[in-house]
Parts: sequence; C-alpha cells; structure tokens
Amino acid sequence: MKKLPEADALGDKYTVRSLRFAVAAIVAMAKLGDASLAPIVFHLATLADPKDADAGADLRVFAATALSYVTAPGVAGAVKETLSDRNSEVIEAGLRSALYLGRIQEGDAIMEVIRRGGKVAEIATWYLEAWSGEHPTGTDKRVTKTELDKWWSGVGAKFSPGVCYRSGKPIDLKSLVAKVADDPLHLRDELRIHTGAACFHERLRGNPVSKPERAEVTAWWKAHSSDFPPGKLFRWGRTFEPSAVD
Amino acid sequence: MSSKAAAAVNRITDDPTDLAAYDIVVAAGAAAIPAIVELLEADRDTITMTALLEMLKLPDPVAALEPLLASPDDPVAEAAMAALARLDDARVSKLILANVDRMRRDAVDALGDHGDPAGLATLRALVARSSA
Repeated sequence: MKKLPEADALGDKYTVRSLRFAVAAIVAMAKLGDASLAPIVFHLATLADPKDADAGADLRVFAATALSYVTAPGVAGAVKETLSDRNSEVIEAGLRSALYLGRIQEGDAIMEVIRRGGKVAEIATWYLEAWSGEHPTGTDKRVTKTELDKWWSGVGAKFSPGVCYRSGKPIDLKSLVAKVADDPLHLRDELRIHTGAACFHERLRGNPVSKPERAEVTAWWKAHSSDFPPGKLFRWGRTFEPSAVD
Repeated sequence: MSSKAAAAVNRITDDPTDLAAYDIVVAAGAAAIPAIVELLEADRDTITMTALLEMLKLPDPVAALEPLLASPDDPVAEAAMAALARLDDARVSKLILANVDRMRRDAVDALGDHGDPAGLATLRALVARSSA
C-alpha cells in the first residue's frame, strides 16, 4: 500500500469509515475555498490493490466522486488515474469528474476508456458525447476504436488547450441552465457542482422540473449569469483558469 | 390548507412526475411541513422529502426548520440540516456548528453547502481528528 502523503493531517490510525468522513470534510473545505488537503483525496481515489480490483473500491469511488468538487493542482492527474482503475464503478465516478473538468486532456482520457472496450466503454461514450456534442458514429451503436480514431481526427482540431468544453463548445452555463428540464438527472448535479447554487435540487435526480424550481433557476441565472464566463473552470460558484487543476 | 398540502406531498411520493403537486407543496410553505415530517419519520422517500423541505416558500425558514434539528428521528434532523444549509442566512452557521458532534457527517456536508468560511477551522479539526 502506498504511503499516505498527508499522513500528518490524518494521524496514523484510520479506518475506511474515518477516511470517508475525512474526504467529506475535505470536500466541504473545498466548497469553502480551501483545497489545501486535496492530496489526501488524490491518494485515496487512486489507492488500488493491484491484486484485487474490488478491494477498497467503495472508498475509491467516494474519493473519485469527491474529485469533482475540488480545484487544486493535481486534480486532473488524479482523475486521469481513476480512469485506469480496474473497478468499473471507480471509472464511472472518474468519468463524471472528467466531464466536469472538460478540457481536451479529459476528452483524451475519456476516449482511452472507450478504446479499452468493455461495458464501461458504453458509459464512456455517453460522457464523450456530452463533452464533444456528438456521438462518434452519429448513431447509438457501439463505437469501435477505428471509428473513434477516424472521428477524432476529423473533429479534434475544434478543441483547443486551456478551455473547458461541454457539448462541443466552450462550456457555457447558459445552455446547460436552459436544458435542465430536458435532462434533470444529469444537469441538476452538474450545475450544482459548477455553481453551488441552492436552486439546483440535485436530490430530485431525474424527477421532472416543476414550475417553482424553474422559477428559482431562472431568477438565480438572471442574477448570476455574468459570474460564469464561457470556457472557464467553474467549481461551487468560483471561476478558475482551466490550468488550475494541472 | 394543510390537508391539501398533505395530499400533494403524498401525490409526489406516489408519482414523482406529478408536477401540479410540487406547485401546491411549495406554495403551501409551512403547511406542508407536517406531512413531509411524517414521511421522514417513517423513513419513506427521504431524498425527495428532503428536496421538498429545501424548496418550501417559508417566511422565516430558519425559525421553521430549526426545531426539526432536534428531532429524535435521524431522517427528520438530517433533512432539516440539509435544508438549512441552503439558506443564505447568518443564523445558520451557528446552528450547524452546534450540531457537529451529534450529526457529524450531515453537519460536515452542511458546512460546505452553506458556504460560510467560518466553518473552515472546524472542518480542519475534524479531518485531523478523523483517525481517532
């Protein structure tokens, strides 16, 4: 097992339960603007046992999900490493975090998951479509490595370093806000993480968007649209340069 | 009004796509709280009930939600904590911090969600103590 890099912060006796609690507290700190303990999350998200893909996977899933709340140097590397995990649930959590970063590096990493194949490749294809704005084959059929590479060689030039993308364009929360009712399951969660705004009721998951909720969202966006310039990295209402997670 | 609100809360439990019921519950405000609490006490549909509690239009949300924090039923106290955390009200931090020892994880989440940097010192201490 790797040595915990921030062991001083955690002490020397810890259990999975206490580590989950620590991750939750570190996420809460990140929401308040302090990501100084983020390396603990990086470590826990990537603490895999090479002999057993499922050992400790619950904790890695929890930590990989936590990566989507944290902005600090090293987040992107940790997210990328979760996409190479041997446990599919860890990869799924990493795919979500990769989409919420949304730079060309994360697009590449999502494509690597597709190229490896298997069941998780289908899930990764959904994330690639959410990121790039199109399905590589233009249909719902499973994409092959050859088709993926051909598609990417055609569209890759549209994507530039140093920009966060969503739906094939520099991320623009205006378009996501406008589509919440079409895909409440994903967009409530995504917009809550980008903005931290209380109007995005992620607990309602895929329940339809009601008139009161729509009114809350509309009023919030009217007051805050200028806080989110397209193409930047947004976390819990703060705006960062996309390189902040390198 | 409370019986109409209660009926609407139950309609949402039966059919989460019943949009008209959300309108009734949110507009009912405090009148909907007893029905929501009843379902939380029964540990039924707790995630949706928590979201409803967050959405209610209340004239003084802190005054309405604070008593629920003391509930002996964990789902009720947890839902109240989550709903309080979403409020932009200076009284909330103190309520969360007062319940950190009792509600641990829910209080930690609430400190982050509420967004008051005054919670940072407590969170740092909790990370350090989490090995205990």
